[in-house]
Amino acid sequence: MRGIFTPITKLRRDVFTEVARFGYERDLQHTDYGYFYEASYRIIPGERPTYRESVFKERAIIRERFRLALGMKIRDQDHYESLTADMQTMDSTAKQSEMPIVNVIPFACEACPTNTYRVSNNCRKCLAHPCTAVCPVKAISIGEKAAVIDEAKCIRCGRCFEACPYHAILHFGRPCAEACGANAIGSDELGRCKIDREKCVSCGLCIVSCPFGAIADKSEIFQIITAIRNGEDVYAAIAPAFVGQFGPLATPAKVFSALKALGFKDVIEVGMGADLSSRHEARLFVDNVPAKQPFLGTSCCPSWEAFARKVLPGDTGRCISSSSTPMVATGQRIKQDNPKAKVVFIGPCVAKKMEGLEEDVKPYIDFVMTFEEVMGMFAAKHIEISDMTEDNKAAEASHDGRHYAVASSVAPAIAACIKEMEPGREVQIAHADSLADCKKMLLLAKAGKYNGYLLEGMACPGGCVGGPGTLMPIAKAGMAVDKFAKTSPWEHADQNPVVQGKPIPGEPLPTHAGTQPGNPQGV
Amino acid sequence: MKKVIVEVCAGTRCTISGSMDIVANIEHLLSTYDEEGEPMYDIEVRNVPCQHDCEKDGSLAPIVIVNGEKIVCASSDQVMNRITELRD
Ligand code: SF4
Ligand code: FES
Repeated sequence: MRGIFTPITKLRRDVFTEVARFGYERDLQHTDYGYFYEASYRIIPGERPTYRESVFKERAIIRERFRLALGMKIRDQDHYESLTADMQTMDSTAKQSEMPIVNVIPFACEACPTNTYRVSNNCRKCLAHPCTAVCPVKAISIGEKAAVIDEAKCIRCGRCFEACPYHAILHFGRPCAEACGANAIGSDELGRCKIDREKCVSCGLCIVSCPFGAIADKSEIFQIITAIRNGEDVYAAIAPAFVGQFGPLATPAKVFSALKALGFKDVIEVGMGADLSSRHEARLFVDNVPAKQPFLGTSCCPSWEAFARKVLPGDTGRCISSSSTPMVATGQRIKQDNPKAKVVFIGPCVAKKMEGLEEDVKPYIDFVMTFEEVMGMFAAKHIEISDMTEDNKAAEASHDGRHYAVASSVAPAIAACIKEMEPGREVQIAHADSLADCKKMLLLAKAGKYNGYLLEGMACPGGCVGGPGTLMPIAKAGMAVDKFAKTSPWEHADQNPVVQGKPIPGEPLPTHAGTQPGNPQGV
Repeated sequence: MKKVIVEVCAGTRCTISGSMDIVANIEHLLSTYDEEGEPMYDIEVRNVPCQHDCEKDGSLAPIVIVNGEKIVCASSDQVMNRITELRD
């Protein structure tokens, strides 16, 4: 479950660790993919099932998780397909995963009832029984021992639920559907969860909300490790939310060293890209709001951006900035310095995996992985982060850039740059975290309530530190990010000399740097 | 009420196995008060580096040491039970 360590968290991480171990230890010439059959017995040992009706089913689910973790699609269960049939393609140093990123493992889904009201034994069969009075369709009546709901008549309005003085009526919902702010969870013909691809924005919150662990995302760990073992220049672009994720003894400087011990050539803070994005979005705001567009929405959260375009089709949708996200800006920077570089974005985020599949992002970002997945790599390689020597590299990001990971920090970072560009301008800000709140904000914006505003949206409650790919409880993670941000020598993005004189993403390069090879758009 | 010292391994293997979530749960005990408003627990939580049990067998993680007594494959409920036992 989100933010709580459960047996599902453990299974998910065991899968990542096994895939990483396979990636690092396999014989590159004669790879035996049968490894994953054996590994499913390591993860689910013995003959007695722990969570489901049989060990066979438990292992079958683990094997499907392996497929996703290797980048493959879920198999159809109505005909034979070998576990490792697509492995030849997946055995690659280049990106292989495709949409959809977020997948339901159908036979792991327990087909939870959708939106039902039930009477619990809190019911005292009271004299007043306001439940029957408020029910608009007479679906609830007083039975022999307690109130009874006639499911066939019930229209699920929840009035009885609100009226009962003993809180005796329970609402039963699907955890996946309740976590989904985009209302994308429906059912297949067997009543199991099915994701509506038109609505899904790949935020990944259903993954960490399903109590049966029936939903999982694709991973690129295997291709990343293969590229590293192939001797390529693989760079880690690490998202601002990384601080504190690997435990209290894993200081940022130790994490940088530990990543190099995994085989990454260098580690770059995405907070630097966040500074570039802040400056760019400030520019967009100053140039366009309110003359050309009524408001500007931030772009860093891909789920929010995709969601906003769905909620506000047409012209209003264009009010969401399409500037390079911090991830892309960082990838651009790394590839400017080393055109041979392969860039791996490491973050808390599942939606970034979707962003990484966009055609205009692919040239800059080769792979996307989560903190949880990289932790699997540390475990597989037996890297003890706290034993590492500190890599005290110079700061690359401002306080504001490093703070992007916490909800309601992005808009103020941009506003600081706007004030610098246009002194005296007061910037009005609104922000929302969770897609449900984002929707409210967007509808108000559409109605003209936020004209002249800078709108910050994030899909994950709490911001990136609350993302589905994290390892630390949210409050702790937020404090760690804050502490690290304060050690930056620069307060705002525009004070950061690392990004001064550097092209602002989306703008033409200044002429002295305009001849980058393989960079036709001149970004 | 006796003081309880809880040492939680913050090494790689134990962290991936949820040791920090155990810490978060123990910390909740610190803000439980009895009817007189007195704290119900006297606990000191320490993050300790890898205890090397994981090198023998990764499935031993997470490691938590409560008043010197080592719990392997620790879970929040186990650790909290132990703390409650030792307290009274
Ligand atoms: S919460 Fe999990 S088990 Fe329940 S319907 Fe959703 S995917 Fe299926
Ligand atoms: S990480 Fe806890 S014993 Fe090694």
